Amino acid sequence: MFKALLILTLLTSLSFSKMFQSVPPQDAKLLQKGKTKLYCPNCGMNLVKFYKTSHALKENTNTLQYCSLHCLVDANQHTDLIKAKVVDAKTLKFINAHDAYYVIGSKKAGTMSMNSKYAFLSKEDALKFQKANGGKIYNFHQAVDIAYRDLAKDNKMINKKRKMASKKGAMIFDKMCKTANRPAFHSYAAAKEYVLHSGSCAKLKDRQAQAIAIYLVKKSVPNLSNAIKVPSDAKCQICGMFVSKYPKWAAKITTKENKTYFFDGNRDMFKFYLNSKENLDKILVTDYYNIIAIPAEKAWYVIGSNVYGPMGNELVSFSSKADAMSFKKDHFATEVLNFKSVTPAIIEKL
Amino acid sequence: MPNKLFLNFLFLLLYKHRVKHLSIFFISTLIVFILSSVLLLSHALQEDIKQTLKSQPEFTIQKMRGGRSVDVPLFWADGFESIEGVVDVEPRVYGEYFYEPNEHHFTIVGIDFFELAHSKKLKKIISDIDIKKFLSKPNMIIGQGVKAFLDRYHFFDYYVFRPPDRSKIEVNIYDYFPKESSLVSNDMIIMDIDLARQILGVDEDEATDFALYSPNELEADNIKIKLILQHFDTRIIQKSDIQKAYDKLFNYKGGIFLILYMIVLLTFMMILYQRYSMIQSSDKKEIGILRALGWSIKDVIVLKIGESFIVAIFAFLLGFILAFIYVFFLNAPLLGAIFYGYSNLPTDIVLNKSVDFSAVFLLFLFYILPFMAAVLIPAWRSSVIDPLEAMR
Repeated sequence: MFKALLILTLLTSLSFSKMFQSVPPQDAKLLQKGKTKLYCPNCGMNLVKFYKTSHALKENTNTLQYCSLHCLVDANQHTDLIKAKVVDAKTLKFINAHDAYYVIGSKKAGTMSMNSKYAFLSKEDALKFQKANGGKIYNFHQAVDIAYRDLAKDNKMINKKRKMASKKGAMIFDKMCKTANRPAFHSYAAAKEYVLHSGSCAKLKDRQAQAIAIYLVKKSVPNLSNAIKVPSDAKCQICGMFVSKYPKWAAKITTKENKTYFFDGNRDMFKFYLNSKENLDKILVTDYYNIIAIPAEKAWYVIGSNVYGPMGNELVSFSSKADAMSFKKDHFATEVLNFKSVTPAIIEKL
Repeated sequence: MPNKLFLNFLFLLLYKHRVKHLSIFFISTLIVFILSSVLLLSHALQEDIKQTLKSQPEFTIQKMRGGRSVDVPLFWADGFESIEGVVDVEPRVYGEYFYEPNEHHFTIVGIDFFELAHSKKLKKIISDIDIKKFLSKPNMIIGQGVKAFLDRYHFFDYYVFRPPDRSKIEVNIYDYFPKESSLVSNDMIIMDIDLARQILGVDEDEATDFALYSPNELEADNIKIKLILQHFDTRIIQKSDIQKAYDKLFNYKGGIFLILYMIVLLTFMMILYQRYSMIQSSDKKEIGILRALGWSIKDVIVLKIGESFIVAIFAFLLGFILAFIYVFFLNAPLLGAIFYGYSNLPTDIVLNKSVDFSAVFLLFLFYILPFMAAVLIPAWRSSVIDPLEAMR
C-alpha cells in the first residue's frame, strides 16, 4: 500500500512538469519575497507552474513577479514597463524584456490569454520555436501593444472562468476546509497562501486551491440563481397560454399586494406592465443564454432577431449588454434596448 | 343490443365449447405476449436512455487527427468558454482499460469531484460519499459488471492497474453502483480525474474530450457554428445526434419485430379463418335451434362475434399481463439479450417500469381488428344456415 502511494506521489511530481509553461521547482527563480512569493500578485497562479511566461517588474524596492504578460499589463496599466524582466523560455533565466524576441500566437498554450506569448533572448531560439509551433516574432514594445489589445477579450474570458471557478471553489471550500469562518481577502495570492499553508484546508491541488482563492476573494457569495419557477397550471395573463411549457421565455411580475402574474414572453409582460395600474413590486425575466431569472429593470432587450418565442416576435432578454450585442450580431437583430426605452409603440410594432 | 340474458347465454355457450376456443386462446395469448414484451422492453430501454441523455452535455468535442480521435489540449477550454450561451466547459478523462488475460475491458471514467455534477445519477452517487475520505487515497467506485468480474479473480477490496508507463497502481474499491443504472454503468469505474489520467496515460494538460453545457437549445446551432470556426480538427457531437442514433437503433430492432409480427399475424388470421369456417354438425344443430326459436341472422352473427371477441379480449389481457411480469419482474431473459446487443461484460439490468399506453392501444387495435375481420365471414356463413336443414 505504501509503495503504491509512493509511486503515486512520484508520478504526480513527474507529471507536474508536463505542462509546457511548467518547470521543475529547482529550475524556477523567484524574484519576489515574502509569504506569497510563489504566486502571481495579480491572479494568484503558481509561478513555477507558469514559469516560462513569467514577467517581473521592480517597483521602488520590491520586485513583483507576474505569471504572464497579460497580468503584467493588467496590473500596471499606467506604469512604464521599460524595466520589466521576462523569463527566456529556452534558458529559463530572467532577461531584460526590452531585449527579448516574443513569439506570439504559436500553438503552445498561452497563460491568462488565448494568444500565447513566449520570450527568447536569442533570435535563433525564437526562430526555432516559431518553426516548430508557428506564430509571429515581435519585440517587447509590440508585444505589450498586443497584450493591451487582447486585454478586454482575455479579461472577458477570465471573468467568465472566474465565475465558474468561484462556484466550484465554494463547493471545495465547503467540503475540504474548516468552513466555520469564511475569511475575506483582497488578493488572490494571499488567499491562496491561506488555503495551502494555514492548515485550515485538507491537502489540495494547485488548481483546487486557485478555485477556493477566487471564491474567497470575491466580495459576495456567488449567486446561484435559478430559472423562474412556474407552477404547472399558471397561464399567461395576456394570451392565456400555459407558461410552464416555455420555461425559456417565462417572465413574472409580483405586486405589492403579493399577487403574482406569469407571462410566456417579455412582450406579454411589457403589455401588462405598460398598461397596469396596480402597485408592481418585482419583475423578473429570463436570461436567454443562461436560462436564469434576472431583474427586468436591469436586463437588456433585443428586438427584431430571427429567434421566435411562443408568441412570435419577442424581446429577448439578457443580463449583460455585451451578451445582448453579440446576440444582436448573431441573430441579425435590429436593436438593443434597456428597460426604460421599451415603449408601447415598440411593443405594438412587434 | 346484447342484454344481460344474452351475455349470460354467451358465456354459457363459451364455457360449453371451451375446448374449441382453447387453442385459439393460447395462440393469441402467446402472440400478444411476445409482441407486448418487445414493446414494453424497447420502451423501457428507450426511457432509460432518454433519462440518461437528458443530463448529457449539449456538445461533446473531440480532437481528430486523420479520422482518429486524440486527446484534446486543455487550453482549448478558454476559447469554448468565451462563446456566449456556453455556461460550463468540462474536460473529461475516460477510456477503456483492457484486462489482458481475458480480452475484457473496463471503462474508466475520471471525475473531478468538485465539478458541478451535471449527471443526476452521478450526483446521487457522489452525494453519498465522503469526498475528503475518498480523495485521501486511490479509491474507485465500480459498476456491477466490473464487480462480478473482479470477484471472479478474487479482487474483493482492490485492483492493481498497470498504466502505460509500466508502473503499478493499487486502487481500493470504495463502493458499487446501484443496479438500476446498469445499462450505462455496468462496465464503468469511476475515480478521481488525476488518477484516471495516470492509469490511462493522459497528459496533465490534456483530456479525452470536452463536454459543453448550454441550457438554451435554441442557441445550439449558433454555438455549433462558432465551435466549428474555432478549430478545424474537431469532431462535434451534439446531444440530438446521440438521441437520433439511439432512436434509430431501437426503431431498427423494434422494426424487425414488427415485420415478424405481421407475418405471424397473417398466419394467425388464416388459422382463425380455417378454425371458425369448420362448422361441425353439432354447431349447425345449435344454430338451427336458435333460428327456430326466432333468432334473426343478425342475432346469431352478434353471438358468434361476441364469442370470439371475448376470447380475444381475455387473451390480450392475459398476454399483456404475462409480458409485464416477464419484462419488469423477470427482467426479460433471452429477449433482453437481443436488445442489449453484444456486451463486453454481462449486463444485469433492472428496468424502470414505464409503459407507453399509446403503443399498447395501437397493439390492441392491430390485434383485435384482424381477429374480428377473420371471424366475421365464418360467423356470417354459419348464421345463414337454413334451420330446417340444420335440425334434420
